[in-house]
Amino acid sequence: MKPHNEVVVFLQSLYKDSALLMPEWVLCITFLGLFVADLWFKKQRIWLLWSLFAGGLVATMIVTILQFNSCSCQFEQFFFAKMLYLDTFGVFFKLFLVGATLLTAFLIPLSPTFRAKENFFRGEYFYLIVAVLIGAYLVAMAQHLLMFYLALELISIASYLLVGFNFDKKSAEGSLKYILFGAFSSAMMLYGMSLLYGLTGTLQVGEPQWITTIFKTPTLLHYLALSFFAAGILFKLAAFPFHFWTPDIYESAPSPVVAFFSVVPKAAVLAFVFRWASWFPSGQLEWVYAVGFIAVATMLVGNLAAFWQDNIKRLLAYSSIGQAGFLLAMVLVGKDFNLSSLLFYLISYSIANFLAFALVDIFAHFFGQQNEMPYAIENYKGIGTVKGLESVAFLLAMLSLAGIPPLVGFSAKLLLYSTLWENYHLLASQWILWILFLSVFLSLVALFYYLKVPYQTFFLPNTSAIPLERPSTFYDVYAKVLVLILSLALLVLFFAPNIIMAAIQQIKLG
Amino acid sequence: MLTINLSHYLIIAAALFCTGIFLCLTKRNTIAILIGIELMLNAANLNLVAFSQYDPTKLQGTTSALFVMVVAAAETAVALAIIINTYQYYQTIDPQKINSLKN
Repeated sequence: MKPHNEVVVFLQSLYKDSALLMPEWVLCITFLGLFVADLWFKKQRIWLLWSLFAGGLVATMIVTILQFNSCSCQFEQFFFAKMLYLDTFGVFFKLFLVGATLLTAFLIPLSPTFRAKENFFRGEYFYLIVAVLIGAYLVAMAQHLLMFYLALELISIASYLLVGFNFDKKSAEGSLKYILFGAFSSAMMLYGMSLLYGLTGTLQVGEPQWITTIFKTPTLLHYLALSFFAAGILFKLAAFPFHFWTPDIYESAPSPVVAFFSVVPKAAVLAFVFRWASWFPSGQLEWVYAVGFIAVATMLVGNLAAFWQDNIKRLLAYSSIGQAGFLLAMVLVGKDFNLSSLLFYLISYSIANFLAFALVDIFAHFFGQQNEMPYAIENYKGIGTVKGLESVAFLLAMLSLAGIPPLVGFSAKLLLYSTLWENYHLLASQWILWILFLSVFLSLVALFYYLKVPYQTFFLPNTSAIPLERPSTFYDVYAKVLVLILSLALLVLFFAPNIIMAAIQQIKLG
Repeated sequence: MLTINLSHYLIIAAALFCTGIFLCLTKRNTIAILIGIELMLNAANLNLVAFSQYDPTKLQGTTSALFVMVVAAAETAVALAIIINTYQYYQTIDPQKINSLKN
């Protein structure tokens, strides 16, 4: 065949494969539509932009569900010159990601910035979130290191900007810190990637020969390259030793963005990590030790440092570090039965987290604009008598994150422990038993700081002046409905986990 | 007669990478830290291009290096915008003096 024909065949295959990217196309159209609408409309535009944003996400969700249905009958496949890989695992993660982004969309109207300056609100806020979501979609499917790097940078660059969207002193500092730490760790990841390319001769990951070279007979250089590569991944997961940016960024960024960061980029990267973990050769325990060490260190750092926080957003930041540790503990052994417990844990964690951040914003608005520190925990003293529903919902979110029945967090923790117990029997490694003990112990420890705010709301007398009761606005009703739905989800999923378990158990890693 | 082989490229890349890390950790000017990050990225690029010679079928490394350069440019543009924004609030770009967030 002549070279010319080869090019034609290649272009035809690209054209054919682009049909598999339907959800991503819809997201790109949403992005461009928001971009144009932002320039076009001058007045009364915030709700218009918001509806375009939410509508685009709903459309993406529908297309992703269609892809999920068609994907579960077809076999898994590579496409775009083996850059991307489509299987039920990846598509389920995409569904989860777009669902979480939709929840973020519902959180945005609650943020003080949105309420305060409706007509001056920047439209970039919406389409940068869409950009992050496109990146997350691609990370969940990436099977090529260049693709992974590009998708991760798409997430990162849009995130750096999103942190600054409060447009105040703290926010500016947060975005500066984020971009410096982020660019540093992604440069380390790229260097590790280039070393991996040299060691294996290809950037394509996951092929049998590649797995043998990397995991079966590792030399010192392999370990070095993999640890450099892990830097970027651990940064996005907010795992030890790349967790230190988290509290500062969470404190300074707008709450909806923080809720979004604590779920979407983490879940996307976790999908990629889980694919890698499924290639660990069975019987070789050094990889289990390495991941286990990081998981344990992350749990320790997150859960112990959370005690000393007096800012609710910083407390939630350390809580999310601790939760990342629990999620990493599930990656320990790449076997099929881990999959459903990992996904269940992820879902339960995100619902509770979104509820917590929604309440943080509702309370911050309640404490008032003139309050210098609307996120300080001492504000919450005795607020339970004034804001009953919200305080109870906060208690539910915290208990679910801590893993107390009858909330979905308990089922998720129970699944985690039973998975670890099964793995302990399977691998006969004392190390896994220690991880199990430590995670049970740390869950108990975590209860103390999770109950810090509910203690303030219900058991302490009110000392500071409670803001005057304002007439109930549309936002207050909206906030109450959202809080009620999310709290009910926490309860319902405990009593009827089959609603999502049935879907989760069909999922296979390709 | 000295011939230039793969290891020379790798040594230079490693030296560049270490210089980059050193700049990032010691400099007290955000622009200088950005330069350090840029050096680290270029070290990775040098590695990719050097290894690409030995990739029998495709020039994956060389192509990747091109993509990385574009991403680095985008990242730098965003970083400079953020630095200007921070300067307006703090009148300095020394990262040690920008610490209103509690540590």
